[in-house]
Amino acid sequence: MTQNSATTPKGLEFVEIATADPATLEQLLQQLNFRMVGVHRSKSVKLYRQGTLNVIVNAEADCKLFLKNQVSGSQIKALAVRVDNAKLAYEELLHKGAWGCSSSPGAMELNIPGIEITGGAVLYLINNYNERFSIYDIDFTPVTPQDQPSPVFNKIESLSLSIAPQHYKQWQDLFTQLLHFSVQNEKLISPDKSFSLILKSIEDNNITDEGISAIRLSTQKDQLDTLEPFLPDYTDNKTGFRTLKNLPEGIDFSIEVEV
Amino acid sequence: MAEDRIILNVGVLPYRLEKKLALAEQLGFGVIEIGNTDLTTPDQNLQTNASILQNSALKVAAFHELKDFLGHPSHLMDYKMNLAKSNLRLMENVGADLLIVSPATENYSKPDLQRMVEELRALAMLGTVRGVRIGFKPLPWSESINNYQDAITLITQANNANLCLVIDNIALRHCSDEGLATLIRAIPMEMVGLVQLSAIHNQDSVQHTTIPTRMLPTKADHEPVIPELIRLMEQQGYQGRYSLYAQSIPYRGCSEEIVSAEISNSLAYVKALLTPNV
Repeated sequence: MTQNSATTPKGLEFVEIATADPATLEQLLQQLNFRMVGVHRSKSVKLYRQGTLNVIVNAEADCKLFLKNQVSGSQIKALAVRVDNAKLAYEELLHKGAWGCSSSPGAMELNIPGIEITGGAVLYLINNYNERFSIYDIDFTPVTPQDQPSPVFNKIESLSLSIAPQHYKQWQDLFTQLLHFSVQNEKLISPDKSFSLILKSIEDNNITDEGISAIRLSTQKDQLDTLEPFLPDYTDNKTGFRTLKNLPEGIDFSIEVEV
Repeated sequence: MAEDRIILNVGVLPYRLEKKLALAEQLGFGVIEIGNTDLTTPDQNLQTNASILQNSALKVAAFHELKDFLGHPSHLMDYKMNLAKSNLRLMENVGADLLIVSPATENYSKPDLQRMVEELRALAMLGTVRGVRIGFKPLPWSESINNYQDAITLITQANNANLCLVIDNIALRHCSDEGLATLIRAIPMEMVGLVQLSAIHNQDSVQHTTIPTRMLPTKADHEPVIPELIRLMEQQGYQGRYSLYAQSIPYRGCSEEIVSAEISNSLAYVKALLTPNV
């Protein structure tokens, strides 16, 4: 399968978190040194940023339907990848058996094509624009943060997908055959090697628990002080990363930190 | 346990859906196979029937059948894929595991194997997102994939974990020129998603395998290939399910007692064939 097709991802553009409790989620993001840099022109959606990392906070009513906890939960709902031609990529993916998803744009808003992945989450396709144009310019009113602390995180290393054990190989085939990910040490590596997806088996085999369950971010040793309230005492020797503790109730995903 | 591995195609029961499900349960089945005609009935709409099925204690192992798939011109394939999506949504709602798919019986141009591989893989992808496996079943009268060797080639080349093979004892017997043993040994058992068992009266006619003269396999309606097929499958390590696959027409007009007795006889017959492996 060609590595240069329209469907080849070329980097992670943003992660979207659906939330029924935006205040709690946004407070957490602030504590992790993300800052709000944009407010959607017509929806309950905000753009948070840290360095080159973009996180969309989506508190729209229809987005809450995605949540297991529709009262106070927050879950990772989508990731967006850059491709050379989003329209062509979308058409090709549909032809190859992907389920299309709409970003439900309003009039004059950006229509971002996406495909359904694990647990109803979405993988959006973003045109790989040059630096002079940002996809956020159309839908978001820019906001200047009151402060701009140094980034704690360098990049999104990976996202974990929780999968029922009997579906493991099927999802592996979907990502490798549709999106040209490669399998390496039980990780699915993006074609440009900029991020990976980790498939984790759900212990209780409950299909309704399938979905994006964790995000792994890399940081530097000298930034660990900022994360101190959330850092556990130990590093998992096997995996080399730490899973943040003391997250507020309702945050239904894990945040893992890799130094 | 043998009981878990033997499922009933409820299409054999000539009743309304609620009664089919109740009777299947009464007869000791926990798992069933169901078809389009079981859910699209003249007496109530699809949504109502789907709700009845969702609320039933029975597990739906297989759904038959997405017919006439593969081997068509591309504009027809777009229609077929949309049909597949509808089927898969329905199956997801009722918790069904396996969608059975069969090839086109008439082709308007020479079937292109590579294109069929891509189409089958695309269907497998659709199934993955909905949590439904795709079981491909060759048909002896298809102009494209009409034997198990070609079906295995197709599935192997599609190379997708969401694909499997469905074996039908009637189609198997009429498809192959080789001995049954040679054929079964050529099939990787992990590739087999379901084995459908039937007995028919007119065994000389290949075409008659789709006409509703499929009856429940029992010792009385002996289909000679079944004991040997099960023996070979079990010997090769098959751990999947066997479906008592018959149509309702032979049983219409029979009393419920007779129909129930036939099903019980069939279950006992197949269970006995599986017993050494329980």
